[in-house]
Amino acid sequence: MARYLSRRLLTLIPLLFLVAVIAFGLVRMTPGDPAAVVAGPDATPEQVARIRTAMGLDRPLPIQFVDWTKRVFLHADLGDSLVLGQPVMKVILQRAQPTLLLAIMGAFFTLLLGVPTGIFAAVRHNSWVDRVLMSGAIIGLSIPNFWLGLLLVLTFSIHWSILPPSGFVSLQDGGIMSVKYLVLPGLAIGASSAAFLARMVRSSMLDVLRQDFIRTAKAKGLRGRSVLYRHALKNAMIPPLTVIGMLVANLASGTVIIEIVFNVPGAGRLLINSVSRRDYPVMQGVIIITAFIYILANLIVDILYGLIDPRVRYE
Amino acid sequence: MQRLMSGEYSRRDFIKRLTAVGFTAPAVAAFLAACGGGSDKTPTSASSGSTSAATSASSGGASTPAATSSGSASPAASAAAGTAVATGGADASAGGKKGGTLKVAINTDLASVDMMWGTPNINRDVMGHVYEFLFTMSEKNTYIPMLAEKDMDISADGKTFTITLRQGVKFHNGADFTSADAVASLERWHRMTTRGKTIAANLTSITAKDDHTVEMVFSQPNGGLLFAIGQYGGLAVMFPKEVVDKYYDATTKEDKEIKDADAIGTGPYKLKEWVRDNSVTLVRNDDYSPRDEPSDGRGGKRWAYVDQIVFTPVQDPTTLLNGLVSGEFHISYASPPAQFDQINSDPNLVPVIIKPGSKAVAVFNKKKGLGTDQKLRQACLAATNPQEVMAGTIDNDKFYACFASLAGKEWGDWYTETASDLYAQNNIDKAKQLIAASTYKGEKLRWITTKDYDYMYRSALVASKEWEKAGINVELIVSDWPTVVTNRSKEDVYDIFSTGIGFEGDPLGTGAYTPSWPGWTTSPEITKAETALVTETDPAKRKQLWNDLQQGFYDEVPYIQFGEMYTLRANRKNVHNFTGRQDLMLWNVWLE
Repeated sequence: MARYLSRRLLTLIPLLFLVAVIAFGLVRMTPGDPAAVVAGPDATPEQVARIRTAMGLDRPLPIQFVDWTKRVFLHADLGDSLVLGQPVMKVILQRAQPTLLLAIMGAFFTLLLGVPTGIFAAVRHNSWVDRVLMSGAIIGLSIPNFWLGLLLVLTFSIHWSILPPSGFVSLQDGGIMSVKYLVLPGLAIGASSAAFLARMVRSSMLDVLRQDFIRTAKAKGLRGRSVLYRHALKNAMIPPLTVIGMLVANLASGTVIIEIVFNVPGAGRLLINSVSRRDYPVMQGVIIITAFIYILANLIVDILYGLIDPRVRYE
Repeated sequence: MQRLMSGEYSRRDFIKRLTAVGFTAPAVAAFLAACGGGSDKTPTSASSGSTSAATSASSGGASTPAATSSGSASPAASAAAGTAVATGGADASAGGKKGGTLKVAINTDLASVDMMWGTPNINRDVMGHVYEFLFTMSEKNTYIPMLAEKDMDISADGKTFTITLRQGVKFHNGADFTSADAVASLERWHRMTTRGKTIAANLTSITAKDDHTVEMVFSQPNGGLLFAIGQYGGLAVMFPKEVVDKYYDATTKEDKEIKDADAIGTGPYKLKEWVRDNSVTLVRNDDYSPRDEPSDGRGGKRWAYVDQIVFTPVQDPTTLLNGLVSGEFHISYASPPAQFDQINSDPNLVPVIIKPGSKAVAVFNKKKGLGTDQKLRQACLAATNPQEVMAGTIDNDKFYACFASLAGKEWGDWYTETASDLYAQNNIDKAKQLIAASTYKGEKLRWITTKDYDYMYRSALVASKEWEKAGINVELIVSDWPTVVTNRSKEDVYDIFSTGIGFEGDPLGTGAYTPSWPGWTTSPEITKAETALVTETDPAKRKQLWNDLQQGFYDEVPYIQFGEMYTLRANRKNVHNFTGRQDLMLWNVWLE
């Protein structure tokens, strides 16, 4: 396992370098001039040129690329935002808390709603419970999460006034009460992910419940709950584990539309805003961090496979 | 892991421990706290991050040709040299309650705390509470002293301007505001800004005669100085000299952008914190030196009732409206006209229609390509039905107006009917005749526009359909706003671009008629009038030159003006004294 881990970690660097090359190239290929954006629509060409020089964008592209990759890979420095005037790492870390909290809340609702729903549907296979739950899952998959978000705001914020409609308060400022700002966006994200997970868990549970060892466990006289949770569930969770890993990675890298609807200052909005502003270093930095999160999530999922399933061995 | 591998732990035990560790809340919270995040006490939201305002919107005032200075020695410099503020009258802004935090939802984040660094409107609307001007606009759209003690003294030849500064005014860092600061700030303004370079192009010297007297000398008479340094969009704010010097590189003769810690002004509010893409917080300057006169437009006494103003960028209009309805925000900086009925029907909200506004326009590329043909441009103008275009662009007819004048009626004597018969022609036959007289052979005009600003795309769509009736073919090239801004400076890639153009209170307030601005207007008639306006000091003659410019505009057709758009703002009913001025003014606002 140690050798396996070392090998996977070593491949991280070349993978990230490849992502860096692609990110730099794609970003620079987009039309639009960040200097013109900062200068504003009434700026003269001289003003735009002055700002472009201050940003360092008048240098040849290869020079810009070499400078940037040296900073990233030799000094772990993602550079400075062209527009925000701050280090990119600082800009991203400022958004780490809202992004991660939103991801945790989204994952919480995903697991809370998705796993039990899948289990119940599998246990009550072909009954009206199964049909109702799976119909609900289809609806959850079909509803756009931003629309669901707006419905939640209308209900819980405007009509009942029990939760705030938007915004974010950090843990340092609001303590545990800051969670209330994340309930509605977390639910909006979690609902569609839960629907997807529920269907996966149901399908996987049905496969496992048909296995001989489950029949053996029942024949031995084990209680239903024990058969379900101690024997079946563990085996049934292996395929959905990949999905959970990818869902969490997706949430951790930012959910743009929900962040816009609920005005949460997360990484997704940062990426979209930096695209609008042509803030190249931030775009590149967010892409690299996102790639890192996905690679890490994949690695964690693979390790968890090995822990949960004794048949899986890494050399 | 090792104990698991060695068999000391069963897999079940390991997973149980892992779950317990993974959900240990204090550890998670400590980690997240270390990552940092919003430090504001109030709910914050990430920035919209949209591009800076597309429109070069006017700032809510006019320098009317007729107004004259009282106490000036010689011909009024520019229109509205500034009558003294009325004294003795009741101050409508007096009597408010102090205290509270005013929460304003804006549409894009601040682009810079340095008002001279770029031109986005949001910069001046936010930082206009931190910095002040030497002169500013009254309610009647005249220019009145702000940091100046009285009106400018102007020499008989119109070339020398003497400004007497108020005494006892302090910067936020406690330092006195003196002529050294004014000179340094004006020199920076002259170096960096469009107005400083154009209207003050003939400036030969700025000197401090004593601690509170500044003299500006020009090589030619200057008819636009008061407008240039007093109008909101001119950006001639006052910084401390040491800040100007700190951000000036004498070797390269370049000014750098002023950073947050040095955003020091004399205004009624000072910058507390700018969390990028999140919020801007201003706190009251308790050592503010107000004027004694009653509040008058942007001038007179500034009361600074609220303790704190928090500007929060909110990208989505529905989210913004939800925040306003729920009380999360007190004021909406701009909402879509389509929300007017909803806001108007809410008993807790007050809609505010902001006039004047910018005009939706289509600018021709007159340097290269199909747009260089004047007859074709005139044909496009003839084929246009502005009323139809604006009806298709703006959802509510309260929020637009169609008229020929390049300056609306709010601008007083700058409003003119010259050549108005050429405005709403809606004459397809005439358009066809003009096309027959042109070199146009049915090629597609490349019109670059964007959906980032709804009105640009919609006006382009409707207008192009109208032109098709006359045989003018258009290809709409839709991209995001930064791409349009970049491409409009490239003569090879377009024939027309969409934008918004405002009248800023004086003909010299916009660069839209100049050769250097995208579209490259080089009409002799327009250029002659523009050039003469810089040095003409007589208000009546300036008015005539403006009429000449408008005539040239409709003969030359550098761009087509469809109509003027108004902005919808809104406030909650517990917000008092929020005015309908386009330039945001919150120092006299108070909360119930």
